[in-house]
Amino acid sequence: MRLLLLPLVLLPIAALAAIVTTVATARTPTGTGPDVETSPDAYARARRHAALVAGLSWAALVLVALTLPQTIPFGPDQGIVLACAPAVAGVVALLVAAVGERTWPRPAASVRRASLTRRTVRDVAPHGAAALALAWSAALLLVLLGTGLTADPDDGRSVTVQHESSTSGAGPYPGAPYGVPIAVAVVVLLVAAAVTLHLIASRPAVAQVSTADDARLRRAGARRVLAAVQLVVGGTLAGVLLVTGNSLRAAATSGYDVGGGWVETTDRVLHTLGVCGLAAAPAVLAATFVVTGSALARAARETAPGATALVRV
Amino acid sequence: MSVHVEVDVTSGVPVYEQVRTQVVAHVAAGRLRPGDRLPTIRALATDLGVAPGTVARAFRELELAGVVVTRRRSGTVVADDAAPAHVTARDAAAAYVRAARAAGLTPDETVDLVRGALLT
Repeated sequence: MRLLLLPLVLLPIAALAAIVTTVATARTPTGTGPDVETSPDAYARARRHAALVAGLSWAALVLVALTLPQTIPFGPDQGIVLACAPAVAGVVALLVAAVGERTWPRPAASVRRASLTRRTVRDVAPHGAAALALAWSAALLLVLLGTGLTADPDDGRSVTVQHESSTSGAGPYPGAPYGVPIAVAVVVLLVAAAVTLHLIASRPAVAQVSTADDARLRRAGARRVLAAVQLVVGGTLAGVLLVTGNSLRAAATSGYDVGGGWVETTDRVLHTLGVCGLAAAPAVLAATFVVTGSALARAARETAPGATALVRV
Repeated sequence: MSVHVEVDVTSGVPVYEQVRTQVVAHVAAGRLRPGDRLPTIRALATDLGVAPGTVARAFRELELAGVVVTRRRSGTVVADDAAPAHVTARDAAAAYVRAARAAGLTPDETVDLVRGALLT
């Protein structure tokens, strides 16, 4: 159970770092870059609005991730709620982001301009970030499917290994009682992400700002959303891998007293799988942190005035 | 290069008419080609800060004129038979606009000159 707390402790730290990065980079001095077609001031205001929306969204993520685990009462379902806490925090963060996207000022000047090019979620969502968020989700759902099928059918919360002349078991193991709620929470998170990305694509264009600059702001918003999603899903995957690996490694070895001494048998395949899970968990967690940091820094860099040349992705 | 529409909500010309004429002009100039997808009514209305019904009316007029067609899957696209203006006339128009701009003429004065030429 304590292992489950690891991602819950690290996620807020990463999210706090993300907020600091977002706010710090949002304060880059604004200038009159040649890419700002009409009004550098309008672009600077829009950039501040985008940073505020992102900051509030990430603050909500941290707040929920920090407070939710403390509100869970001790009991058999504590682990389930703990495992779903990152996804719940992610959904709350996306809700805040979605509300923020609805607050963009609508065109108010008498002369208004709009592009006749169709704008879709595919246009605003960076493909690499979207692919990574989906990859973490697919990996998590596959691991949960595997652990659900191999968990002890009696309780679904442990894994039992049949050795030649003995049986060994270990838990907690993310069988169906853990896997189904986590999977549902992740699917809800992905739906919330899709809705938020749609809102980013369909929000009003920033008045007095070129189409290219408006597109940069949208892409940065989508990048920040996807960074949060991959952090949450990747963190959950790391937690599941950690718990799974720990239980598999423990259950792979069975020891019993034969009268004349202690005999141990080890299922090497399961032991190796367990060790791989334990090794993969920190690697996944580290990768999500690195991706989050670089995505947020890139979002701020791309929207910096005069950064047009950097954005032709 | 992105193709735009620009409307003046204080103008005496209705907004839907401004949108309609500009889309027709973009097609005539070859900037919008047959098969090009236009934004959804809601998206264009949001960007322009006007009611969706205003853009819907412009699209309806364009559809009646055969400039665009609305398909269930791809939405509103430039019609296949909405050909741009004759290439020679198009080049002449572009050259005329360049000359008018160089002379400091406003868009209205530029169009007035064309209308005047058409009266001869």
